[in-house]
Amino acid sequence: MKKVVGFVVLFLFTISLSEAGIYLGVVDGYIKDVDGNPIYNANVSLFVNGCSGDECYGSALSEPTGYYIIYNLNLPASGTVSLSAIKVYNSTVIGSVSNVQATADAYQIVHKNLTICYPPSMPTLFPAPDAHTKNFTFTWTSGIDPFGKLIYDQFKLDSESFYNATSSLTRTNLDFGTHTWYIRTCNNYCCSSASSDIFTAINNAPTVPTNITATDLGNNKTSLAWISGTDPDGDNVYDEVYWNGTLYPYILSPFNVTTELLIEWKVRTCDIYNSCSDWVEQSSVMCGAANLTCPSCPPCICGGRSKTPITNIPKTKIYCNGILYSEDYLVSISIDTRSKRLSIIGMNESFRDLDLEYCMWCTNGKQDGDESYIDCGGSCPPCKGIHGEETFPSIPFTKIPIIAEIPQVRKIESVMPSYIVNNIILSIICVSIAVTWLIVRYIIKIIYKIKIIK
Amino acid sequence: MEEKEVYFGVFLLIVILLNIAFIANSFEKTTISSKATQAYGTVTAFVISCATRQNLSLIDGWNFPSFYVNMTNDSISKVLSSIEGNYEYILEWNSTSQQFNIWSRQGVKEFKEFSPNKSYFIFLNQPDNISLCGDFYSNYSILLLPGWESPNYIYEYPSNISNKNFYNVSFYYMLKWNDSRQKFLIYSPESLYPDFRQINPGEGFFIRTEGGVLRYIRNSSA
Repeated sequence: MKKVVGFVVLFLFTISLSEAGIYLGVVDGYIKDVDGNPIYNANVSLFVNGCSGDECYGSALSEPTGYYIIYNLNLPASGTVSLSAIKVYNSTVIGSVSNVQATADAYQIVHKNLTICYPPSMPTLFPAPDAHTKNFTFTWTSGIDPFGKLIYDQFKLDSESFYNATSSLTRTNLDFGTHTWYIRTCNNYCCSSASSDIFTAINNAPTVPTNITATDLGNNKTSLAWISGTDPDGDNVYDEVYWNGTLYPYILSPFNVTTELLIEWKVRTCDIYNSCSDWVEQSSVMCGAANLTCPSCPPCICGGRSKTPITNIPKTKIYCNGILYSEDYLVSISIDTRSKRLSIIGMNESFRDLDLEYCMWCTNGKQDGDESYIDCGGSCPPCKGIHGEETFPSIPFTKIPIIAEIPQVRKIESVMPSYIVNNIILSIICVSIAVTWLIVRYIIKIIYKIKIIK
Repeated sequence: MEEKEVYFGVFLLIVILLNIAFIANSFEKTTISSKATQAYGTVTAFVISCATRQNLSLIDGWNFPSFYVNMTNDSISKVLSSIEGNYEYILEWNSTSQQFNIWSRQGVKEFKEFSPNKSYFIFLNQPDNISLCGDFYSNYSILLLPGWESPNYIYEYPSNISNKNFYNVSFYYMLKWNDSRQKFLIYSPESLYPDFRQINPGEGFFIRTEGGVLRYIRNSSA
């Protein structure tokens, strides 16, 4: 601040001088009520906007004339202040004004009159009870103006704006959930603080459907059935089915659909306010084109059957009574130890537990029962798929090829580098030649001597 | 080089060294010992008689005095010679710029003399007293520019502030300095309870006016 010498103090190296700022800023004015009457002993406070350091804040009590003055302020020319004032009576704030902005003149002086309004007292409300409804009625008793001024009430719900209202007020079609309502009493100049109450428009979702089933009707039809959930609030309910990527609202059980080989569907119950239960899901394998009159099987007492998963077998078609419904990555081999035959049955990973059990005559190596060939057709695995794919009728298990394990052959390498080996060999050869030569020479000499002696 | 010349050179060298030693010795003899506690001689003192005097007690920190004796020499060094070394800063209000001019012992010196028309902030490192000699003022006028001014209060007696007027000047506020709080006190004509109601001798003050002439008229009965 140029017009004060606080900055001078910055140059001083004596710590005690840091509080010795010389500030000329002055703020004064009168505090009155809305009728122009001076307010005595109102507490006025202010802060200089953007100020930091000494003398940025100040306060004063108003005099009987309503006059207040706050000085020694670190207020620059054309600086601004934020003013607030409250009037306290019996330890209760009965009137206030806040955040009044004012600007200093060229001489660091602000003259600002303030008006304090005495609002009516807060209204008394009657809490709205929580209920299963969308319509609520709000009731309250208005506040009282201390000076008998004309009053009116203002209501608001949640984040709405206040609007004039009279008790009792009914609001309809509220959303279910928790709400807050506010009520305040105003005179022509100001309003009381708002009284408020939290209430809940209750709506419980129905229970989940039960007994859900998918029945294969044949002819590519499946019947989806369930028992609807119930609504704890007693509301009317309806059901929704989600099947084949589509949501079907307002569906009654049973619900017939065109069969897919693999059917996944879900159902839930909703009330009239569209509050729904959780989904209940089901997955089933349907054989919609299967012969509904399968021959009755004798009791499948297939003792001694075992299953062994075999991997690394190329895709295998999986059939349900002759209808392709999936491709397989695993097969199981049923070994009938009595008939000593194998029944190779495709099993999808996800349907491993389906355990397509066939009757005993399907693995006895004979064409019997309703078979169209040995151990296939009829109630046994089909001899041909509907698209001509190969199926796996039973075969004698003695024909299973046995794959012998080929042991690994380990190659042992020399530990010595080859060039060293080569040099050594060369050296040995050379030495050998030399020795040989010496020996030969020696032998020749001996021979020669012998010849001489002879 | 002849032998004689060598001897002569050596001789000259010896002479030079001896001279240097002699000179150094003579300097040492003329140096006053720092341990000396007494000196003998004659001192002549000139005593100036002073009929009117202003005594000021200054605190450590900021002081805001006025001078009610009209001094013949207004230079800062002369007026504050008795507290030399104890004052660090002096502030003079520039009514045109509405800022202080600064005199700093270590730094800038934007003015070098006290004006008889102004009050001054003086910052002291430690408390001290000064006694100023000069004549009392009789009637005196000071021109005030609009805004804040810090005129000199020139009388050795207090003067009351009457509502919105001080020595024929209408004003909005007057400030004077509270030494102990190091803050201003304020007089507002609007206030029922102003911090002060008079200016005392030796007190500086600020006054916020729309301009005018401060016409000091000596109260003969005071």
